[in-house]
Amino acid sequence: MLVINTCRTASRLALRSLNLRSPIVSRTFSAGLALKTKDVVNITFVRANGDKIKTSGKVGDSLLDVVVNNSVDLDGFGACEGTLTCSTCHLIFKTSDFEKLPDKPGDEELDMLDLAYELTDTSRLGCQITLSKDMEGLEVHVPSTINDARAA
Amino acid sequence: MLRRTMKYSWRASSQLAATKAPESTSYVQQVSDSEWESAKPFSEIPGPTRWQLFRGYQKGGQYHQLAMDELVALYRKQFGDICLVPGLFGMPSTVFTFNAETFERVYRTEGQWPVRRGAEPVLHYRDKRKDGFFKDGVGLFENGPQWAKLRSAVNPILMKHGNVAVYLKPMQRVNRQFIDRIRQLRDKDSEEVPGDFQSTISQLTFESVATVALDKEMGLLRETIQPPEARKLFQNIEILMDSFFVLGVKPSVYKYISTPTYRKFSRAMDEIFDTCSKYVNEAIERIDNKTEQGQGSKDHKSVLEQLLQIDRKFATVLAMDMLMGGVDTTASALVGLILNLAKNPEKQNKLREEILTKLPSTDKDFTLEDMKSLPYLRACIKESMRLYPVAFANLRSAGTDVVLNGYRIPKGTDLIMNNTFLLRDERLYPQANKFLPERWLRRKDEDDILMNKNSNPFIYLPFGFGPRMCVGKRIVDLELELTASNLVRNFQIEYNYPTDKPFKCSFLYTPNIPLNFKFSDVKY
Repeated sequence: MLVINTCRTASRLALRSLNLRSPIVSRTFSAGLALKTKDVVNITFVRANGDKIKTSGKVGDSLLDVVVNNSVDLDGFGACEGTLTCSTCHLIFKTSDFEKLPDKPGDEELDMLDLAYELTDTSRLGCQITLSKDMEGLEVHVPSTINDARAA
Repeated sequence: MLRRTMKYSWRASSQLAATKAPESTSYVQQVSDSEWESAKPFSEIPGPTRWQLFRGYQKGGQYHQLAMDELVALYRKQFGDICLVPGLFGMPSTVFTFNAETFERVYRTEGQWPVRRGAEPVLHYRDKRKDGFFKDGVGLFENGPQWAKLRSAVNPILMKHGNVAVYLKPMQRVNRQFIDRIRQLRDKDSEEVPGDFQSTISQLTFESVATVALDKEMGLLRETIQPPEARKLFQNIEILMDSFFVLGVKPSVYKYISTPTYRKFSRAMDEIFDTCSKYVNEAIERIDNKTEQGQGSKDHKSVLEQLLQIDRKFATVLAMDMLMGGVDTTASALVGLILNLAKNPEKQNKLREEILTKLPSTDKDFTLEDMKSLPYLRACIKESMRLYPVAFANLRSAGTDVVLNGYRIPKGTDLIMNNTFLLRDERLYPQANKFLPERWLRRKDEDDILMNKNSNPFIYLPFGFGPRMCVGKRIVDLELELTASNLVRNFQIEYNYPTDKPFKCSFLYTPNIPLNFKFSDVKY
């Protein structure tokens, strides 16, 4: 019973992530084409070795959602699924971008950031950053150690 | 080579398998094969022999009748920062560690599906249950991918901030009953509550959990009628916790022969099971009726309703686990907090000022927005859990082969990370024995000298860390915040008795002194 239901949950989760991805598909057919294009925000993740991963998300998504929905190749990223119990979605912002972020980190985010590798003054957790239109073209650095920390 | 294979085994299934690990000065490179090769073997970790252990627990032995924290302190004194305690009667061996670097290494390498042991008596009971109810699963006590699926399903319900709004209201209602109850209980002249006030605090935490897990207010905090069934459930939870620690901590043969303690434990489990099942079934009926009448609103589904959508059986199991895990623990945390506030009136006043700026009138409820910006309250809670932690250690199994304190620890080894000694270390927390919430305020001024910035943050993790962090954390946070806020805006709290050793330690720390707090109404 439990097995069946967890399968059901898993498939529902899979469906949900499909739904989240679907705007890209539906855009072609949708009458609200203009609106939907406007909602898309382009984001670039920069790996420690300089590799750039260009991707995009919707306004209202978190940076963790962007990684998950686009299967961005950052292994171990977001291990706790955005519940603020780990620091694996640690991202480093450029100072100017960091200062523009609308919400300052809350106490619990700061607690988790304390436990992050390579903490900088412009570090944030990706799960706590919500995309807005003015983030178009944002570039964020992924600390080198995330992958290793989780995969060890 | 074998080690390398293991190290990357789970990554192999991911897309990164083909790519080279990025070059960096990361921790994994520190745990290089050469470090493993040069480390001392597991078998050389100091510790008592099986015979010393068995003998030590007998009457007159060195470990006999020691409280858990005293036992661990003795291990540390005898064997140093790492110690191997062999398992007796088929129990697995355990490695105790005492320094922050080992905690960090263990958490950093716990892997995708962290393994946490320590619930053996519960698992044994569930395995042996005649009706086979737990055959398909033991809820969040699972390990591996099965655990991950359940945790993933539960996370949005119990751990996401957005969902806190769902239980804020019922918890506030219970909290108001608690304040009223204090007014009924306290002596007219001395304004002190009876020494057994701990049970009232447990009733509060019990009611708070029940409103979340069973979608039901049990009525224990109301003066006149205490429903016998709820009272029984509450008592059974207490019996269960007591016997659980005896079975889980001391050498016992309960796995082979049903010992008297195990029978007591098992009976309590049976009754809890029956009561929880009944309440969950009632809730199901209630919810079904509501849906039929078209009252079911998508936005206001209770936690239990949301859990029932995952799976009915799982909701029942989780309700039991929340009641078992969330009553004594939160009660201990609350007692510590009230005690600290009572003994530090100027800190209590400072907290009251903060709360009253937000909510000048004492009968107004808190909103989630109010709860967000109460930094001094959060600091008081943190500082209280540093001085009076709820658990004496955090548990994990090694997620990979790892070197701890210069010894090889194979993947899967059970580890007990004892942080409580460090929480009162002067070098890490200056004026360590004082209640100074200011050290947690993150201000860049004089408060900095209250916190050693170079100390390892992995020392202070009252709820653990990572994907397997305590799943009740959000609920407990809210409960502590609400209760502390409501207490200080209603009462001036005092405690006029000695507080030399206010807690005793089995696995949890539980109150050890009569709690005759004095609650005087704050005059406005």
